[in-house]
Amino acid sequence: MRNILILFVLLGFQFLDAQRNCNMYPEGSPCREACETGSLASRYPQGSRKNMELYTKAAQKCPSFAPAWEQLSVPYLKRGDYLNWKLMIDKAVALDPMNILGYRAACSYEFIHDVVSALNDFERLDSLKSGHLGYNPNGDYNLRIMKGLCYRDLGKLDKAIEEIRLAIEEGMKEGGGVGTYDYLHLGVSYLMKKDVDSAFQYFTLQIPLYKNFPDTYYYLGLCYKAKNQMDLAKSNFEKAKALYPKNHRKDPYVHMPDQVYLSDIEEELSSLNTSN
Amino acid sequence: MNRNYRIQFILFFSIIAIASCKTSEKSSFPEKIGDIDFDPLVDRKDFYLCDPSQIVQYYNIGTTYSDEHGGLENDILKNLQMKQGKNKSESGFITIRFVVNCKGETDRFRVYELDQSLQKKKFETELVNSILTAVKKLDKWKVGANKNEIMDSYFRITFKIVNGEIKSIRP
Repeated sequence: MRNILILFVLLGFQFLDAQRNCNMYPEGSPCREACETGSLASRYPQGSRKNMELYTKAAQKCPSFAPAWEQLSVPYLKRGDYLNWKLMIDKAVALDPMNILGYRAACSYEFIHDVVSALNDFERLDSLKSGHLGYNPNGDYNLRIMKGLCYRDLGKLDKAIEEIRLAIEEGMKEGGGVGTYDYLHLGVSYLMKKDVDSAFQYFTLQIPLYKNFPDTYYYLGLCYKAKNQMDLAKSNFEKAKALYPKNHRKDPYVHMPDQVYLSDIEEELSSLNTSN
Repeated sequence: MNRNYRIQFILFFSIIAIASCKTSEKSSFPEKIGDIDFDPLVDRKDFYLCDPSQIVQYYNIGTTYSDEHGGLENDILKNLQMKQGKNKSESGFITIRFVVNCKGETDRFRVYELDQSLQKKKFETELVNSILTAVKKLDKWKVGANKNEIMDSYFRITFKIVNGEIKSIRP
């Protein structure tokens, strides 16, 4: 019993998915039943037999009910079975591209690092929507930032910068504001282009958005190092190291783009100490 | 046994029999998606599990590799024995899934090989074995816990292969 309780606590957050309004489907219709079955499924731990059986039942009752296919795909993704993930998520996207295409793109990018597929989806989404593309599953990223990062991973730095700048502009105009890591990614993109002054400018803009974020100081340290200002480089690396234990990025599932690890900071400090 | 008791006895076991028929209906799903059952042909018989009935996912309890996964890529690259880029026609994704037990040891390795469209494919055996061996050598696991109780968990690492070369290693 105790073990069951522990598991219940561990997986509790997963029960919160798929709380949707089933009244939008006509009473007594197969899709209304599918929606209600989906709500019941969401009460069981994600990926458990009962959860999967109920979502399958929902999909059988109303094959056009995209959320059932989407929910069926999620445990496969999180557990590394991308073959089955794709089978399910492709069905969901075919039924509801406007709402699920961006999600598939973000998952392809974050989990599988399948940059080509992610970019194809982002480009298709851009042709379907005008303006803001929406957000990634945990809400940290405007999807256009991720689209820019895909270009960057494919070596198209100018296109990446253009896209990230556009995302930031959209965020400012359309009320969402600048995302937590937007300036950081823009700065890193400029750093990759060896435009240290622009990179420095955006890392400086990043600071007020997340004051204790060690990654910003690490990248500022790299800028100072590139400018041969070694004392300032060192003090920024030291600040990054001091901030790291309590403030570093810790996505529970994946490595995030431009993420800095303690070993990266220590390596820079050690190389500075050696060269002194 | 009087007649009433006999009827109750028969009724009770009939209900149990019906219930067991019901519960033994085959489901197409395992108890939990991603469960890795013990395979005597490939898995260590002496691989210890704190609780074989409750292997959770790494992201539920925070199981990580050293430096919050930062050490993962470096250690794998150090452990890799083969020269990369040998077979230029090989592209796609190789995912290794396994169990990190409550002592920080690993076993029950399973390999999933997919092409760039995420369809099944077979990579060159040398590449797969080299990656698998490198993952098996990882020995700096930080075991996750729930309320200070350390637990066994599943972990996965995905390798992106482009033209025979490892382009990314991602938890």
